[in-house]
Amino acid sequence: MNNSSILVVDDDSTLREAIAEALALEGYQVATASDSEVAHRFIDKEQPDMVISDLRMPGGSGLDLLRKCREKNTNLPFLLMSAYGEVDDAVSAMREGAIDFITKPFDLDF
Amino acid sequence: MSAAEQLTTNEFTLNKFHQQTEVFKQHENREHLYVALSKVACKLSHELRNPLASLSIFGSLLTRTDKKRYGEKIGEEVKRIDQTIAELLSNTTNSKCSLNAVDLSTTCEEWLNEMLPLINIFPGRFNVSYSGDCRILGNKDLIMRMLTLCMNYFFDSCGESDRLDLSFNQKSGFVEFCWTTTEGALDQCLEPLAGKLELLHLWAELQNGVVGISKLHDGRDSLTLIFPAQEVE
Repeated sequence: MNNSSILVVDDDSTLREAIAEALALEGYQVATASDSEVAHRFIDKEQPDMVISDLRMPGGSGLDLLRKCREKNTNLPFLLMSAYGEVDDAVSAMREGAIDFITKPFDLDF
Repeated sequence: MSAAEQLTTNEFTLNKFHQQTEVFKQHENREHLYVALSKVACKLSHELRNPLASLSIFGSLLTRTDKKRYGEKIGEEVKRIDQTIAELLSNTTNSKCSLNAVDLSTTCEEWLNEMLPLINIFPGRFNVSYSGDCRILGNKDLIMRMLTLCMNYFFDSCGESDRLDLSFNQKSGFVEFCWTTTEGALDQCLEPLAGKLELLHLWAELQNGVVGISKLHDGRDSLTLIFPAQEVE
């Protein structure tokens, strides 16, 4: 049993459910958010151990969310996902302090 | 060289210059199509890769059950569809111009050398000034084509005593190319050339830039091309 908590942020509800399901089966405590605003409030209140977020979402990107967290000096580990797989996005994500950048689709071994 | 020979040489240079801009126009439709295709492919990849990611994860979960073979099949098919999307993206994005760090001082000098025969026909009517180290993430060939096109606007549209000033400088993270005429309003000059401006907009967009026409304090108009500056590491 793993007690770590992970917040999954994605505007695609099925993908959110899929990732949450897979992580829950591994024993993680999982919370989900459909956009960066909801995610930001959750992070402030609940302080999860890690965030897995989509990069491009309506209303605010995963990179914006990462920046907001870094502005508050939190070293919360971020893993960013993108369906686009552009090199520029990956470089920006890593520069801003994401621990990894993965492109969709991916399997559970990521 | 006699006056008649000089006139013929000038006419040849001008014709060559106009032919070059005609070729640009012919490329316009094709480039429009490529940009539209790239945008569709990009949107399509996003729309398809989200459900593919979900399928891939649920397929992986299935491999951990007694339906392992079904899960593996789903994984294989997901990879096959994703490969098709990657090929589609590759075919369309290859048509876009590749962007590199472009040193504008060097590029402008190179372009001026190419334009020298034309500039010599109209002595004193063209002035270029720039300062500092200006770099953008762009395409050198496209920048030179844009400068030539702007030059063409001017020679096509402005009066005989009009002078054109081209300056570029870097400020607040942006590089600004500014074309200003000493007489005549550029917006009036450009109005009948809207088709050509469209091509300029397209080339600027490919390099994350914008085109604008603005009114200066002294009442003159200026055609401006703005690009994000590339920081020197």
